[in-house]
Amino acid sequence: MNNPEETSYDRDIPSQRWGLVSLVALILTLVGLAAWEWQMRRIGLFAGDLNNVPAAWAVERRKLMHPDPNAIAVVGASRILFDLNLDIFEEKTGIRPVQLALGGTNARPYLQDMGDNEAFNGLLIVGITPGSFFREPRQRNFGRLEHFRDQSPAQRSGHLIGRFLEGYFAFIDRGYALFNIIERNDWPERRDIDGPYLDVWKIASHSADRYTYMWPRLEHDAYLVDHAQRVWSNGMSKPRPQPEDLVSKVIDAAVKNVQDIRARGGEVTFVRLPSSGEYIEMETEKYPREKIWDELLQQTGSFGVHFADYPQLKDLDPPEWSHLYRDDADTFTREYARILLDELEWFRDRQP
Amino acid sequence: MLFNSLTFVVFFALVLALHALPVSWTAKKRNLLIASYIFYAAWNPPFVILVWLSTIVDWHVAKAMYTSGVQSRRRLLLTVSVLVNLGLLGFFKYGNFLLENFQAIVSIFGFNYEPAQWSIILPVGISFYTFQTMAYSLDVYLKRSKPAESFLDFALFVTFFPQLVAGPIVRPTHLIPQFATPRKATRDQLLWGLGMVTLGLFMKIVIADGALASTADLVYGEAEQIATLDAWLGTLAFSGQIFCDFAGYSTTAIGVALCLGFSLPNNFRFPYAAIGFSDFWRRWHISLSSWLRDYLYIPLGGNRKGNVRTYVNLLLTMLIGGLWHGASWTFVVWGGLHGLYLAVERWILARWGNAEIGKKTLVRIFLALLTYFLVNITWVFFRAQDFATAWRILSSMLFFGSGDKVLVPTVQIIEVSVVIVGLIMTHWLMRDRTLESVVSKLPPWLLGTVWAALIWMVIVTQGSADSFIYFQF
Repeated sequence: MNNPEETSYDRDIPSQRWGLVSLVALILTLVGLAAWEWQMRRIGLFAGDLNNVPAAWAVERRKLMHPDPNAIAVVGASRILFDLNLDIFEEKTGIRPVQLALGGTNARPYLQDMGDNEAFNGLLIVGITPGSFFREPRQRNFGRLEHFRDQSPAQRSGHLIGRFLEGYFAFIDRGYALFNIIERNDWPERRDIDGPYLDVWKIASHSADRYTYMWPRLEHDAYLVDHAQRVWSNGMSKPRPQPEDLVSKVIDAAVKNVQDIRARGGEVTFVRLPSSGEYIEMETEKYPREKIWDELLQQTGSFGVHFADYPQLKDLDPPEWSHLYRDDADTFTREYARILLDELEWFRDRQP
Repeated sequence: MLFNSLTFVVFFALVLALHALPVSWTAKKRNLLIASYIFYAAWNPPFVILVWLSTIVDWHVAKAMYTSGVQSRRRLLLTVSVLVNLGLLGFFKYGNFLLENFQAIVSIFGFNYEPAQWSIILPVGISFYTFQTMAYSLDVYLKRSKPAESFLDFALFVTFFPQLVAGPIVRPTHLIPQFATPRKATRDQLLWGLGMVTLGLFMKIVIADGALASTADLVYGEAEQIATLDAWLGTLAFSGQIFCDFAGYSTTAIGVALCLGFSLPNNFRFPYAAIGFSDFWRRWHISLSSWLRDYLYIPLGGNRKGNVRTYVNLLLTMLIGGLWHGASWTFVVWGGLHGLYLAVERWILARWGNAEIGKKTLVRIFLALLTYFLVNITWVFFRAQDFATAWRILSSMLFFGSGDKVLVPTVQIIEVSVVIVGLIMTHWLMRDRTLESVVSKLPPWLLGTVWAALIWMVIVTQGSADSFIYFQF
């Protein structure tokens, strides 16, 4: 091995007109960022639309560290995340739910987390999206739990600073980060490859407490709605093989989690949210109600709300087959809260 | 705390402000020491105790060694220092690895040993600061330097936050004297330091994480045999990612220290323009390769004990260098391959080193590309999580087991190609230059524009504060 050259004790400083250099850099940076902010606002981003990052989930999860028999937590996939207006739910029931649902995930690790959480003795609302609940969870589905458990002090403070900045700058949005914009063009692809064009683009906006609703631009942009449908359709066309006994295993595990929560005085209720188009066709065919939904409620002995059973819910029509318009989500939440207040025993002693 | 995090931006602004206060030099050093402990504790507070342990042991051991005239006592004291530092490293980094290998060995003899599962968190940067403090004890033992006169200076040497968790591994003779007298960055040092911080963050956030990481992760996360093109794309992407990640950290660290008025040594010098492997190791992770040279290779005898011993020493040094990176046999193979390359190169140079043909530009370019090709072969073992993955990727790259599964989307092929070609050309053009000399020659308006472009890209890339790869080592 040859000797690396010795480094000098004091570093060389390039001979430059550093005052001028830094002035040019400062002005151009400010101009560039202002232009970028203007462009991002023009395409529909807005200040205060918060990133749905793991640290935000951890903040909510920490709210369930101490027993509270009046606590309500929500787990599930994106439908319960989009379709439940936390403000309206709180207005109707007097309790603000802790929103732990996550888009694109399997809710089961989070149902189990609540089952294992000795401090949780409130009501757990489990949003059922059949295609994601009845499949094997992927490793990435555990990411938020891992972040919650391992979060460092620096990550916590970084999240607080990020939240502050997101309140002022629209461009801080992971959906429109530089490489997402570059990569999500419709590039010609090699065979069998789903490029980043078929990733899920920005479809949601988030405010404090992870209150989530459909991104306003999606409500009047046919191209984005069409793109979302293409993504869902592509995903449905490539189902991952699942074990034959998966449904019974999933239900058995859910029964155990529900029993654990009830043993502490808590309760669990399930909700099946509206879907339409190719989604409802696929779900009706692959996840027949009597084998999935009815069986889940019966085995767990739980009360559940299926949108198709309620006239006021069954006609709600998700524009991209999976999530409701914001106004429809408000309607859904009002009706759902009323159904729970009327029919779920847990609420009897807690009427607002 | 990560450099590429909002927490660090606020932290660094506060540290700079504190360092500019009109207080005594000792007060400023105390501020820096406290800031350094906060920097480390912001990841996992209890592990600061390990830094304290290493600091206190080496401080007392070095003092005692220096005052003792009895060789056996000095040797005993050195052993204490080495045992404490390597003990920390061994327990936290290699505990599971040793246990797994012990299990495997006893199972060969028919014993089924099932120990309780350990759940050991690897303290971030432990390999860096233990090597740095060991260098201090070794230097005092070998009478290369005196112990530090001030405990505050020594504690700051161990803990100085810009280079605490991922280097450069600084020698005591380089850093401790800088703490002895008041230092304050001049305006030009501060601005150039901020420029280096920008460059380092650009390399990490935009190039390593933004442009390359997804391709490397995609290819090395695939369980099936993939096509040759995809295997190469994944490995080339990783070659760029690891360079920009690690050199990005070092550049940021140097810039941060410079803003405070301190000098840290270069850790990289355009390594992908290296012609041969001794040249590569003069350009890649310079502070580790020089540490291994001074504290391992030379004490083993270096090249002073004949040809065979030289080759053995080379191989041994690189094997240990490989193991330093991680508790896995794949890292040992990575180090072993580099040791083998160095040995073969030495053998060739001894016979044909002065051949005129080696001085022609085209031949030099060919040799540089050959070096880069062989370095990429070693990266397969460095990146793969196990030998099965390494073998799958390698067999696809070298055409003897190529599958037909394609993975990498078009846009990522373009990104990897553009970045890697750009990276290699930049390294080649900068091979015999320094960054400082090139920056000196740029017109101010152009330099300002480039600087603004880097800052803009760092911000709009919106990095997700991913850890630096070398934090795990």
